[in-house]
Amino acid sequence: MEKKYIYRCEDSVEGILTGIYDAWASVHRHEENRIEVCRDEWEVPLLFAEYTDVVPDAEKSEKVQRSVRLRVSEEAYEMMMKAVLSGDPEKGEVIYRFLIYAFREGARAGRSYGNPWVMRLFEIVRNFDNESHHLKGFLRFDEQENGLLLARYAPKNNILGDLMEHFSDRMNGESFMIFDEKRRIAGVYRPGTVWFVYRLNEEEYRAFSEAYTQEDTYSALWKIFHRKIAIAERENASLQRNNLPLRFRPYMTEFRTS
Amino acid sequence: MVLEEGLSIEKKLEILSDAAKYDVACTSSGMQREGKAGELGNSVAAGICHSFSADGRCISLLKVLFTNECIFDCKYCINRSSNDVPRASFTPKELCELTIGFYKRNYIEGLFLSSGILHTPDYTMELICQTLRMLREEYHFRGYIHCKAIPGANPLLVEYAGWYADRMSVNLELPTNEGLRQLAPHKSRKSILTPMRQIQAGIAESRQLLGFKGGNYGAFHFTRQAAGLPYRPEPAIPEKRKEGNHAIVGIDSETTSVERTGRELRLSLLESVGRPTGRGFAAAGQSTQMIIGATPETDYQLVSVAEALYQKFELKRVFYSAFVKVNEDAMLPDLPGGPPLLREHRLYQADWLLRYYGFAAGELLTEKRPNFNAVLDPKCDWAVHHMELFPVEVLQADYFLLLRVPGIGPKSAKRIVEARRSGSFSFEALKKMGVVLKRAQYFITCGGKTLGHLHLDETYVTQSLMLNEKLPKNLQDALYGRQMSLFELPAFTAEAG
Ligand code: SF4
Repeated sequence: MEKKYIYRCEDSVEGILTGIYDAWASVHRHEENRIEVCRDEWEVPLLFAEYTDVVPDAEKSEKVQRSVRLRVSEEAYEMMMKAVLSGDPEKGEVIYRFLIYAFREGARAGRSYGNPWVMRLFEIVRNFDNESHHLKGFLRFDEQENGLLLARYAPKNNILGDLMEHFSDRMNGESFMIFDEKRRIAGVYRPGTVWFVYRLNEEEYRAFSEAYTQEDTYSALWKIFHRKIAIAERENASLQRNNLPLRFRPYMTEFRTS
Repeated sequence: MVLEEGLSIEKKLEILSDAAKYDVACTSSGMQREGKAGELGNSVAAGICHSFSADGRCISLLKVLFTNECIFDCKYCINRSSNDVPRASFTPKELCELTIGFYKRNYIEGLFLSSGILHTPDYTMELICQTLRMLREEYHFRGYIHCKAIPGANPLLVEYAGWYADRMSVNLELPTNEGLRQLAPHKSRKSILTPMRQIQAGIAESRQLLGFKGGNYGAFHFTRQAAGLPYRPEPAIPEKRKEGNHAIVGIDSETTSVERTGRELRLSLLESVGRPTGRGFAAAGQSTQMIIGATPETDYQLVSVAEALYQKFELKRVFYSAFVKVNEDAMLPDLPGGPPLLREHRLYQADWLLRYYGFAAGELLTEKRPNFNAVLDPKCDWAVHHMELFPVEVLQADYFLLLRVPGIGPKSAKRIVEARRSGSFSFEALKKMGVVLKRAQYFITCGGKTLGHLHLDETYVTQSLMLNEKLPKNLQDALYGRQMSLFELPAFTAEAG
C-alpha cells in the first residue's frame, strides 16, 4: 500500500488553507497528500500514513486566497470560502483537489460539470446556500428584557456571516445577536456599528443558553397564528416535514411548548 | 351577526387569521429592496418562507383579514353575513404593532392584508389604506406588503393602496359569471375585473414612469405568442385596448378601460396629490385566486380564464384553491373525498405550462375533452395525444419544440441548445443536463439513436409514464388508494379524463 501524507488542520479558514499551502509546498506528489480537517470525533489513524499537524498561518492562508482570485476567478474564490465554512467532513480534501484542477484550467474550472471534484464542490456550496436561505426564514429572535434580540441555532454549515449581512441590513435599527450553539460563536450587531463575530467563553456560553427563551405577548400571538392558519381538511404532516425538517424546530418559537 | 365587544388582541388574531386561511397565496416574492437607515425591513426577490403550517403550506406573511364583519353573503365563505360566527375587526394601530412585533422576531416577511366588507366597500378600503399608510409612514416599515383591492371600492382608494403595497390582488373566486351569480350574489365579473384592470394600468405606469418592475413578461409573452396575439417586449400602458375580437370567455368586453394621460402630466399629477412613488405601484405584481370545485366549471374553462388573465391583465400569478366545504348550503356541492387536491395539483402543473412553456390552453384541453387526466400530468397527457409529432431529434429541434418533450424543462432545454453549439452529445450527457430520461426516452432520438426500443404506441407510453410520475404522497394515496383496473386507463376510455 502506498504511503500517504496527511495534513491535519484546525477547522478554520486559516487552518484549512495553511494545510493546503503546506501540502502544495511539500516534496510529495499531490496523489500522496491528503487534507484532513479535525473534528470532535475520534478518527481511526491510517496505518501507512504520516501525520503532520498543521500550524495555522495567516500569511499562507492569505497567499492561497490571493492566488485563487488572481489565477482562477472571483467565483471560484467565493465557492472555496463557502466550502471552508461548510460542515462537510471532506471539505479540506475536496478544496485541495478542486484547486489542483482549477490552477490548471483557470477560470473555466468553475463551470466544468464533468469533473468529479468540481461537482463535489458544487454540492457543498449548494448545501451551504440552501441552509443559509432556510435560516433567513427559520431563525427566531426573542426579545430580552434590555431590548436585545437574541437568536440561537445550530446549523450544519457556518453561515453566521451570511445571516449577519442579511439581518444587519434588514434590522439596522435594532441591537441583535445570533448565537451558534454548535460552534460557540456569536454574531453581534448594534445600530450604527459594523457587525462582528466572536467566540464565547464557558461562562458566556452558559449565560446565553439560559437567557435565550423569552416567552412574551408576541411569541404567544405567533403560536396562535401558526395554529389557526392551517386548514384542517388539508392536514399533511409529511409535506410539512419535507418543507420544514425536524432539525430546525427545536429553535423555533412556534414549535416550543411553554 | 355575533358582535363581541372589547375583544383581546389574542382573540381577534384567532378569529381573523382563521378567517384568512383559505387564501392560498402567501408568497413574498417579486420585490428586491435593500434596507435603509432609520427604517425597518428589506425585501428579497426570491421570497423567504418563515414557517410551514400543519397542512404543509408555506407561511411567509402575516395573513389576516382586517375584519370578518362582512355585509356580503358569498355562499362558500365562512364569513358570509348569514353565518353565525364570532366577528372581529382590527384597528390600523393593532395591525401595525402586530406586523412590527412579528417582523422583528423574524416570524414573517411582512403583511398580507385581506378583508371582509365592513359597512361598505369604500369604508373597508379606506381602513386598509389607513393601515398601509401608517405602517409605511409612521412605523417606517420597509418589508413586504400584499394587499387586496375590495371589489366595488372607489378607484381612488385602490390607487392609493397600490403605492403602499408591493403586491395587490383581487380574487376572481369563480371562473364564470354564472358561478359568481350563484355563489357570490354581491359580486360580479365587472366589480372584480375593474380594479384588476386599474391595478394593471398602475403597474404599467410605475414601470414606465419610474422604472419599477411588476407585471409578468414571461407569462404575458408566452401566452400571447401561443395565441398568435401581437406582443411587444414592453407592454404599453393599456389605454383603450381594442381586443374585443380576441376576448376569451368574455373578459375584455366586460371591463371598463382606464384612461391615462401623458407621461409628464401624470408624474406631476402624482406628485401634486402626494402619492408616495418611492416604492413604485404594486411593483411585485398582481395576482388572483380561483376556487376549484365549488361550481361545475371544467378544467378547460379554468385554464382558459387563467390564460386570458396572463394575456390581458399581465398577472404575475393565478392561484387555485381546492374548495373546502365550510358551510351547509343547498347551492354547494358535496365533496365526499375531501377538497379536490389532485385537481388543484393538475391545474398548477398546467398553469406552469402556460407561463413557461408556450402552451395554449386550447392545446391542453378542448371543449370535447374538458378535464385533465387524473393519472397523467398535463404535459405527458398532451404528448401521448400527439404521438405523431414524436420522436423529436434533440440535436436539431428548436427550443420550443424541446420544451414540449416530457422530461425536458426550460433549464434543460436551454442547456441542450447551448451544448449543441460545440458538437453532438450522448444520452448520458442529456441526463447531466437535467433531462429526465425516464419520461423523455419515449419521445426523443439523440443523433438518430434511441434509448432502448422506441415503442410509439399511445397505450404503452401512457402506462409507462403513469408509473413514474412522482406525486406528493397524499395525492398518490388519493389517486391509487382505490384499485385501478386496466380499463380505467385513459387510452381505453372514449372520453379520456
Ligand atoms: S365578501 Fe364574500 S368572500 Fe369576502 S369575506 Fe365577505 S362573504 Fe366572505
